[in-house]
Amino acid sequence: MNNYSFKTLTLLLAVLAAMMLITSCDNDDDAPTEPPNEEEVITSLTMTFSGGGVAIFTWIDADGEGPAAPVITEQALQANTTYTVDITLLNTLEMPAENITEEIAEEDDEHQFFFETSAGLDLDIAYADMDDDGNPLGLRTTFTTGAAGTGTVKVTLRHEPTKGITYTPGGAIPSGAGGSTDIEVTFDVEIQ
Amino acid sequence: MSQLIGWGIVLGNIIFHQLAAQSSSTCTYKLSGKVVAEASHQPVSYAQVFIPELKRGVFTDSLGNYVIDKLCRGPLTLVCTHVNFQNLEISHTVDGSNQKLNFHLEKQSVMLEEVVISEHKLPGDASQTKEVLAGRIMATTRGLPLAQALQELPGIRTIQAGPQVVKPVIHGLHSNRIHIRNNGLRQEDQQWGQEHAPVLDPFQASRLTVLKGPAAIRYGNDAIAGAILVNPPDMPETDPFSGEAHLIGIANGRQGIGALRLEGAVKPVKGLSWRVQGSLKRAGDMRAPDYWLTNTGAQEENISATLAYRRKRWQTEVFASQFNTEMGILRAGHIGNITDLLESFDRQQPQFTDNNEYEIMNPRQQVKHRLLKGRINWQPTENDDLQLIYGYQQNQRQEFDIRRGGRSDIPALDLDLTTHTAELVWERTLNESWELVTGVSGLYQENRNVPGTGVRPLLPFYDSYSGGAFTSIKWTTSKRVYEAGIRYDGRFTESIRFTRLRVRESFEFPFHTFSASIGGWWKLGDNMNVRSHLGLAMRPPHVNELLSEGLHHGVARLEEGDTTLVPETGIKWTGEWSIRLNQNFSFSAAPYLHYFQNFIFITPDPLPRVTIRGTFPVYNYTQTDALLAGVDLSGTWSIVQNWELEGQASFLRARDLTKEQFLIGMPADRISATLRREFPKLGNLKQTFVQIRGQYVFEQIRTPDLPTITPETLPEVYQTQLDQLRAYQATVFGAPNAYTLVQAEAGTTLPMGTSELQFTVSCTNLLNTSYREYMNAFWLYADEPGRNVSLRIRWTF
Repeated sequence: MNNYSFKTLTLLLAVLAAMMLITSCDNDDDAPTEPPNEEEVITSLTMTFSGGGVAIFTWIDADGEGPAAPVITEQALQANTTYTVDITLLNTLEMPAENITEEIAEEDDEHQFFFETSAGLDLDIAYADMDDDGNPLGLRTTFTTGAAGTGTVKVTLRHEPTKGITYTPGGAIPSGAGGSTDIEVTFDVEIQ
Repeated sequence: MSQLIGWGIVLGNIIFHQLAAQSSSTCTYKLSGKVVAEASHQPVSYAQVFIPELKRGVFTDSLGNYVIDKLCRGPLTLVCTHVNFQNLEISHTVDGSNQKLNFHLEKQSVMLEEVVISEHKLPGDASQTKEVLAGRIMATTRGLPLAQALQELPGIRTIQAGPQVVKPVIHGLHSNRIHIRNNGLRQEDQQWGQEHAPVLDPFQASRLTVLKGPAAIRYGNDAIAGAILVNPPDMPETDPFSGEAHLIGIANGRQGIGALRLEGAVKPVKGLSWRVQGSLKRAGDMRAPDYWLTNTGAQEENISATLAYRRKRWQTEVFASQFNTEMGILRAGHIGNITDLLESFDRQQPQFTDNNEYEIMNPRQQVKHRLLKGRINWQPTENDDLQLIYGYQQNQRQEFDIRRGGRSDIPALDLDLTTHTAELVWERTLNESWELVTGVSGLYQENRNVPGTGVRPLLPFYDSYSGGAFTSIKWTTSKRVYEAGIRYDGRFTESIRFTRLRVRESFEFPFHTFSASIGGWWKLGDNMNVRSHLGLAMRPPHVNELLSEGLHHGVARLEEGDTTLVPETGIKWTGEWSIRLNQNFSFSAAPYLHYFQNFIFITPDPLPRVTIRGTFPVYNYTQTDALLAGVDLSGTWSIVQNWELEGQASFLRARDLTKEQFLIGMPADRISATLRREFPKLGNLKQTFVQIRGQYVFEQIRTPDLPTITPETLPEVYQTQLDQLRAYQATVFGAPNAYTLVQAEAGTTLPMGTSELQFTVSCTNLLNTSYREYMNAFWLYADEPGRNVSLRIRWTF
């Protein structure tokens, strides 16, 4: 290689180096400082029992989809009592905490709660609210207890299910219900 | 030296046949001439001019000249061969004087032939096994996603997320392990995602080349499994105006695709040429045999422009392109938790089977890719070529999900990736047989999360700097090529993410990696070639493998990276043995072995995670030692004149050596046969053909063992769900059934003076078979598309 070529090669290398430098000096100002808001996560579900008696069930998963195990609390229900049950959903990962219940109420035509009881548990459940089309929603329900006993209640919230599908609360979710699951939690129930 | 290299590479007992030179009798005539390249008119040194009848041949000198003496009067055949060009056979009669005969060689561009010049002098080019998609096969796949077209080639499969989101798989590996080179520039388009299809316009290319061995020496460590080169045709040299137009209609999905390319040499300014090219695509929901695949539509708008100028020793080129696409993600694949997954899996038909035609709804992806490239080539001497390439790419990816609270118009993932690349390569021809290629490259990349999504980003903020240097050497004669190369890469990545509990974490990852390769190509007699290539490549983990954390929309699962991952090291051997038994039968076998230390892969956690959404699939990035072994076979048999039978087969075994089980997500074995009838001349029509193909895809029975569930050791929350857990494992570690597909194609070309019209009609899934493909992420939810008829018209002018 002659001298001329070497000079040009050096020049080309310098251009290359300069380009890399120029392009790598214009940042570091845009590093994120604020954590993003997790707006859609649901971290807690509370079932508030009122009417014939008072009880509270909570299912709290403080890290949302994270690996930490959830904290679940239940209280005993009285036998042969009718309760009005209201579901409250919160997102505590967002600052400030957001009440998701309102979102569900607003989009009631796209949501439905399902309640499945374990065999042998003497508990009747009925929807006490409906969406604008007259289909059940399930933010408010009535729980009527029978004889004393223990079992479980599984609460499921589906987004965009087939609304208007025939379903009796307490039974299994019909296979045509579809949708995607936003909530699926199981509580231990003790009727005294 | 060559002996030493040869000893190192030849992994079998390969015997070199030396053609015994037979001395001629009293004949005294001389034949001489020059061998030049058809396109550039550059002399071709070390081409062989061979006379089969006499079993005698000579090589051209550095100026492409040859002389054959001691010839007798009479007819003979001359075969001119060079590793980089198509063989040229000429019948000639020695008339009793000293004659001149020149050869004009065309570059290789035919499948299963010898070697293709894919870019410039590409290290490993001669000894690598490779496939080229061009000509007729390319014509019948125009308008399909890039990877789907490549699927025609042996050993190339796809990984899919619905019919429009298709990514290439080379010998079982994909995404971060395949380097895609778009018009000479490394494509940087968030390729880590299994449902992130390459955003480039296949209509730009006249030829797609796939290197099936590690091409890390030249391209860096993301080419650990191979590389795909999307090469546009050469710029016009003299023609003031030419171009081509494509019009494609595909019945299933009512797809319409149009593409146009115009180019020309600017007469007043010698050496100046231009090209503009663009394509448009609209695709609606496709249909499986029994139902609509809701939300599988797509649309694309692409445009590119090139300006090139060449002087004697200088060539410069500026290329700019913009690619915009919007793709629907199969509605049936949108699930919430394992209950949904199992319900969906058990269902005969998905819940959503409406036909929304061209309307693309959520979940969907919207991607914009801008690219700007500048290239300068300079030949300071006859033997030196310096190439400087700079590239700028901006990739904006937005993914929209089905969301609550009126957020469906807000992207759930909004990424902005900017990449600068620069590369300087020096090719030096040392003498007639030695070539040296040396280069340096640099990359700066920044990934930004556009705020306001209301979702913690799966892929965090990062800045990445890398630099590499390589050198490779190649020794060529007409009958063998040896090559070897080494490379170093350094990559430094800084990243910041927030944990689920809003704590800021910052990371720095410095990685140093080395690559080396050695290979050879041998011509054993007139009809047999052998290639062997051994490549070692290291690939550092990508940011997604280190730091992803959260819900991956589109594939409905939680993905967790691992910050302790170390670079993976792969050693891949590829070999190829091709033989032409006689005029009518040729066969090629390409075996490969790929050993990995610390192979990085994503696998379902045996235990799904209990969240308020129920149990949710969790996928973890992890490392193991792995061995992938396989073979690609292909053969062509001309039964009688114009009737041809072509066969292809691909087999792959992939083992996790640590866990002693099969690896998840590897393509199943498959075999195919094509029967073709050609009509070389049919009235005014030329290149007319009709073909029918059958393909059988085996069931992937080599899936990982089901993890054992010991109820006693499981946390309490799982106790009520053991049955569901077992069903979940059987599903995600399972695979769909085998299937058979039949397809037919016909095509013809109508010459019209200086222009020509090419027509192709094809029908895929002719028997309207319902089937599911393991490599489609949505095989759990829906069938593949049913029968599909398409018509392609191409007008070149």
